[in-house]
Amino acid sequence: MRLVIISCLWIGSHCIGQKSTIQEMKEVVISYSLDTILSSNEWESLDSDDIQGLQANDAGDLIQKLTSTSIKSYGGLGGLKTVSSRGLGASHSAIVADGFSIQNTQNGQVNLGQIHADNIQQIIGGTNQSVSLMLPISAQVSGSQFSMETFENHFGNNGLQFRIIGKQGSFNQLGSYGTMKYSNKKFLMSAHGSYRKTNGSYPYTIQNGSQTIEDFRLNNDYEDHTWGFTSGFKGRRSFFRLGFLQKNFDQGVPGAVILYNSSADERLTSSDNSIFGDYTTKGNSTNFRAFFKLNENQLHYRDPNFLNTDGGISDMYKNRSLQVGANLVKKFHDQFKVNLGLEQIQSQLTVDNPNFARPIRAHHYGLIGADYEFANKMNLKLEISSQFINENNLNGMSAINRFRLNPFVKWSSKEYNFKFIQEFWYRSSFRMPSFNELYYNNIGNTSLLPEDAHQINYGWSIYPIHSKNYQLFVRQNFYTNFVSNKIVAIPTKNLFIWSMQNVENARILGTDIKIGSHWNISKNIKTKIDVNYSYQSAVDISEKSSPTYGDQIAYIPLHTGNVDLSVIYKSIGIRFSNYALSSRYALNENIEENKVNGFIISTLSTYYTWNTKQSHSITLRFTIKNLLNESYAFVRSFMMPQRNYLIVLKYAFN
Amino acid sequence: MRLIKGLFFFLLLCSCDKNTDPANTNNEVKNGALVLCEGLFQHNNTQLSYINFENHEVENGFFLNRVGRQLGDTGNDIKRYGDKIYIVINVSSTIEILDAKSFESLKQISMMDGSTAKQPRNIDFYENHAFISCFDGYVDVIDTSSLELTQRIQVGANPDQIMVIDQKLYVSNSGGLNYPQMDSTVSIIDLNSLNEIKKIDVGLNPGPICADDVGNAFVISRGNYGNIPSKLIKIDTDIDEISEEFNFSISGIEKFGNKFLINFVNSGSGNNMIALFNPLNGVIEDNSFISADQIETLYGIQYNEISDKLYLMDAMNYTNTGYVFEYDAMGNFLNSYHVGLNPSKILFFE
Repeated sequence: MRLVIISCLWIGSHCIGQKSTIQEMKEVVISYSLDTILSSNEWESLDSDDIQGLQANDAGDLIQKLTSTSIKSYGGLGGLKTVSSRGLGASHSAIVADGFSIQNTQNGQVNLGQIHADNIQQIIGGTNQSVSLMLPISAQVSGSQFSMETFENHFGNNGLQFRIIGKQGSFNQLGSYGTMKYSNKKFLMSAHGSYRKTNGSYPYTIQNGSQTIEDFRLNNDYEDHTWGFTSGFKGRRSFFRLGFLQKNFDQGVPGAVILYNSSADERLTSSDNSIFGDYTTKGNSTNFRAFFKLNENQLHYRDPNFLNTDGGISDMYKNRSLQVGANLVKKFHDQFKVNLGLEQIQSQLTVDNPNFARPIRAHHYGLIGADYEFANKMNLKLEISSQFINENNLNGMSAINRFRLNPFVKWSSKEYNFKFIQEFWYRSSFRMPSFNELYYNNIGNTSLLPEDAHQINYGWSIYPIHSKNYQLFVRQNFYTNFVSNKIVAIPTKNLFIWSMQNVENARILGTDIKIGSHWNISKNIKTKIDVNYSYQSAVDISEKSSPTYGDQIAYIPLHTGNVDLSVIYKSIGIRFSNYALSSRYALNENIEENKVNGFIISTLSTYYTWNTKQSHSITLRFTIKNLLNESYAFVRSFMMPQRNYLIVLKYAFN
Repeated sequence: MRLIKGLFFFLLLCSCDKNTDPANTNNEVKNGALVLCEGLFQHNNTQLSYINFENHEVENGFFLNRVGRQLGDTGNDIKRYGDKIYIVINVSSTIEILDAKSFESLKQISMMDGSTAKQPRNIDFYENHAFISCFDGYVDVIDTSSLELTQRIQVGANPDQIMVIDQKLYVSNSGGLNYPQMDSTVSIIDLNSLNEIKKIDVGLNPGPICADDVGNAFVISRGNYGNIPSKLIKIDTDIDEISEEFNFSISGIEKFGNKFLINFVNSGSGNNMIALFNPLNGVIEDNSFISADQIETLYGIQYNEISDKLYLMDAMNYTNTGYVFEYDAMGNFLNSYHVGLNPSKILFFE
């Protein structure tokens, strides 16, 4: 049982601008203006208006609004929440905040439930390096990237700024966030802190045959506090940032809803400390960025009711990593540019349990790419990346060192004055097994191969209407992916002896379509409609003789979609957001017993803002989540909250 | 709201299901078998599959169809004693008791000790008592008339398999939750005084127990699934001492007439074999009594004395629904039955 619990812990910005520019770190876009045509990236991102309108608890709530993403949530504030894109596993997704990767070598996944959303200004998802060439190479070569930008870590020219947020919601949810930022043409100084707490004891309903069970989630409390500061200096073409971030979490681990057994006593306490910094220059022909991030994560897992002779489990894991890298983009003339990158991530895991492995990993990345534009209409990009992974276990057998080369090819064309864009690309990528998958006591398997992914995509986007008051954007992608050597935990001796194995191959055929519309009906009334739909047929092609050959892979939905409508009238806004997920299977065998029901979750949010002439504003928001009071679960037996409420009061200066 | 629901209605359509067996809630059960399908941890999908040997039909969801609710999470054992059927559910920590004729639920016993799940594993009977090994280090005693817990007997770490032999209860203390420092003892409980009278060291990770016709107990020491191999230990129950050790890699054992069928790994070929073992002289008489070629993961062997047939249970890859294969007493294949997830135990009805 412990094994499964631990395994659960675990875990070209080708702007449509009228000229070709070097891709660069984008400044935060906080705009509802339609004076300029919005780029493809902006249509594919969530901006601050979207984020505030959604009143998300965490980054996972936001990412699920992007196309072709599948969120796996185990429920509740701070609960484990991961994202996978286009049928690839969650470990193929890179999560980046302010240009710095968020990583966890121990379990290979980032818990999006622990990234609060109050300071996120923009979030972009991508699968074809469209996010930025200045992201760490480790993120660029991942199967997909999700990049966030926060209020505190970006230069502006607004002088002194304050943001203070207070929240209260159902299940004794309390939240606060405060930040102070001073930035001008030369300096950036910011400090921020946040606090979230809930008892997590929300009601749920579950069907047990002909019986309907109504109960409350137990041991689902959560508390976190985060603080940090950033300072920076900016020159005419360059800037330098240095920051510190500390996050502390204490939470119950409720586990699945087990019929007839409501006991749950496991707890997780963790702290995460990061020091990060970068130096960036942006010139007419050269962009350069060098960065580092030093991270230490301590995780204390306790299960006082584990039935061993020690009277329970109390294990402390310490995962340290140092990430250093540099990116260079050199534009030789208007049609040709080259990008280069190097990165190294040194990771180490130590555990106070002497039986556990003590692995050290040195992961080296290199990348070289070239981008050529033909007649200002067509663009060809070629890229190759290398990765060498050196494994060393100080307490037991080491995994095998790995070396891989991965190509990326992309062709795109822009027709009709850039209103019709097509692109075709191929990417190969892989993800390394995590420390837990390689070394965790008896389930780890040091012979694991990396999980390989091949993605082929054709997409088009069109701007059929773009006037000062109305813009319409439509984009569609068709893709096929192949994943081989999927790493799966399976029982090997009996149901209590599990091991990690490379046992599955998968083929994914999918399409996604996004329709975005911004309409300024009048000077005072602005509307925004975003619709996206994704179809993902991800089937098991491991063995023709297997009963699951051709069956949809567990927990990958065939259909997902979002319909979001927002209306702003002067200082009043309302957003109606809907997220739908079709039924999935809890196991690869597509039989009725394994079916997990689909659901539609609607969120209604309204706000009113009082603005003063002295740049002060106060916003009051009221949000109803799960408006239709659906009883639902992303993961079988991990029930999610039914209808709940949130009130938010925000004060902003500048 | 209706508009939104309508808009998303098509999203909720799903691919065709490969559901297998129609429900049949005929309560008349004879010449058949109830198969306990363990399900998978945290999936609440333990189920009983009923095999009708006359028409070869299978009814999955036998318990759900009759009792109207699920068995719970990770069923571990099923036995009949008198006119009652006892089903041990490990992770849900319950004992389900059914009437053996009507299949009505007589009682669900919650196996909780305060907020701690006792995690029951296996059950055996003596006179008017049911004995249940619980992973919290005890054997629980339940009165089979009142169906009330009457006593807890402390044994070793994570007691697992359990067997009554001549007024004594033999309990293998696996210690499996202390990996890699597992237990290595068998506890012996006197069934008259209901006290543990002795512990015998039999080797790491004791598991399945079987008795021969002359009252010797045979226990599998499963080792650590790595560098410490499994072995078979013979206990002389008159003196409760180890009388012999058999050093072959063995994982399962089932009484077959006056002999045993054992599941072992042939040290020469490395193949998984189902062999015929004579407990009286300690000789493997037939290395490959039944061909296991068509079985992906052998998860249980059971012999039906009355029909004189053998049944092998295939757990496939543990995440796909399994099969029960039927053989005659000479080891010739007769039939196969598609049952639920991870079939492990069979209860026969004549």
